Amino acid sequence: MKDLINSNQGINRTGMMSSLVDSLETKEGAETLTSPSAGFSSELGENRIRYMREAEPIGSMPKPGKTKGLFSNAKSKMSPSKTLLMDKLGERLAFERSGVRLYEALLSKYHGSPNKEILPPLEQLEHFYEAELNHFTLVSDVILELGGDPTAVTPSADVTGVASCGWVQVIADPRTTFMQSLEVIHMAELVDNACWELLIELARNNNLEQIASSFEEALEEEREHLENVTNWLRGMSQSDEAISEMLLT
Amino acid sequence: MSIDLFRDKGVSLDKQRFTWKDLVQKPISKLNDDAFTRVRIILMNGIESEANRFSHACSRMNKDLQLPLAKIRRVEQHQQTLVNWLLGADHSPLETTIGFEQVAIEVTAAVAQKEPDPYLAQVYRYGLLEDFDHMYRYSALMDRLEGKDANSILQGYTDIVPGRPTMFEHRDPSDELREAYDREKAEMLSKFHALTIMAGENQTHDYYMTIGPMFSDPTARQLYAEIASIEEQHVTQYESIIDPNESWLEKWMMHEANEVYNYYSCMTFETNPRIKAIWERFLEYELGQLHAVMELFKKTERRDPAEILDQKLPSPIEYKSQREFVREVLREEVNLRVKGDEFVGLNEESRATIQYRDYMNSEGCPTEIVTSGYVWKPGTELANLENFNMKQ
Repeated sequence: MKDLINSNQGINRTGMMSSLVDSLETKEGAETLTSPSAGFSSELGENRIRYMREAEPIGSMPKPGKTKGLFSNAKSKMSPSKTLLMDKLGERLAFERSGVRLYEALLSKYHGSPNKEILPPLEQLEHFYEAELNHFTLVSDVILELGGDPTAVTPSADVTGVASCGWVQVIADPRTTFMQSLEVIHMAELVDNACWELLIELARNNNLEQIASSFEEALEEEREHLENVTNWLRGMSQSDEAISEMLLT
Repeated sequence: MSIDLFRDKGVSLDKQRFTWKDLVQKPISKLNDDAFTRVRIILMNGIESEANRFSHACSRMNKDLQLPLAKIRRVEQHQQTLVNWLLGADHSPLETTIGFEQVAIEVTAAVAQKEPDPYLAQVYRYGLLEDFDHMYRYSALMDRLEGKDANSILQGYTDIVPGRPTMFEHRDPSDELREAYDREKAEMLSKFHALTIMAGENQTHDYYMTIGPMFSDPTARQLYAEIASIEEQHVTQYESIIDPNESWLEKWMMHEANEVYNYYSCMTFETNPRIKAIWERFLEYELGQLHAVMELFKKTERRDPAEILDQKLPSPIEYKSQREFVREVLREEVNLRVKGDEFVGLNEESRATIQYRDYMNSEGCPTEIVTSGYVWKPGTELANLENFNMKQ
């Protein structure tokens, strides 16, 4: 990082201001040399709608497992509410599993950081990492208890996986700082909190009080994660050292 | 620094070695490095990719050359890895696409101006206006799909305006073949140009074919499908200008010499000292490879490499904005078309091309959908920075 700052490469060149003469020529060229076809950007939307009419879903829910479970014993077809619960359990399972890996990457970011005095306490980071692992195990056990397959990818698990794939890219990148990585964890914890709340409601809607209670405990822990991560970020935002490390100032 | 192809022997093959750590070095910065550093990285990945492609084709047709080809190919493959991995992971596939089109525009324009053969220069100017149009289409996609400004990648060096509209670029294969240069009469520079541009277009085609299906948006998927089809036409065009009567070994030697020329060009213009050192290292590697192939050429064909190669390299490919030249070509030649291997007027295209194009476009044309009403503006079409220049 230091040689970047010290070399002539340490200038952000992305904006108009950094190459004003050239960029203004680009602007003038666009204004005088473009005769666009009639229409608007909404044509992208119209094309999406055209394809939506022919589209097939991302995928379907796995069939209830052959193992004995609270849901798989049902003689009739599984209700929409139960199906949704199984889908969202699959999503939580995948999310918590990825969350474990995100915390692992954050820990390596901690160990590779030169200024540990501006970072959160290591024991707490490790504690949160273990909590994510426990949550993964908890959801896995619940899916089994209900007769589902914890190795299957449900549609919501797939969609959430696609939506969050940028997080791993940021946190695993050797160039990103601890603070930038912690911001990724912050996003993940915000989503995680909201999703646990929904999952608890879904469990209660399906009269699974005991499972809902175990999820309440997980939510409490997730709330603690979010609160701490938010506070750490607030603290680092007031640290000149953390800011200059992140922004190369 | 000037290079003597016969006296400068570079690094011998046995000393061209890598470790996995060496292959995966620090990437460039998307934000801080000069756009032309990215241009050179993308082009050299294409040059090495062509080295690999040619080497395999040659190996499949020449039993006796298989071992020397395999030895040099191993190094080339690792060179390509090291070069391509210099792109940072924060480049989205669409941002890298903008980089690819910047390569196509700036390098083809530089080549077109230096090309000694007027017919070949025309071929380059023709292809240039088509890639120029792709830049406009992809910039609109980047703006309208991801809300990003293509100029943050281009850094003001390259215009974002329509060229020959892509919807008119679709042609029958019989109109895609050009006249080849004559291996005995063409200058070495003409041969380098042809190999360089063909390599660039081929990797662009392969890149679009790889990343096109990674997009979810239907217009993006269609756009990559349409432009990849044109890149295939361009590969067909550019490989047809290379004399097919060159022997396998002659072609191999030209590939190696062209790699020397390209690394030399990159080294000459590079502004990032760390990347410049890589170009210097690989220039030495390529000289070593060229001399190994020269020896094979002498032994196998019993000919002197000097029959094919000049002693001195031509002046390097110029890595600088070619805006004025491109605008001039746009003004003069946007209505040019081709029929067979001839350049013709707007209304002289073949019936086969018109029929083919009309059918391909009959259910809508992605490059038109994506740019409906689109004019590039600083900070994307959503921004209102009309008085930007006034504030300076």
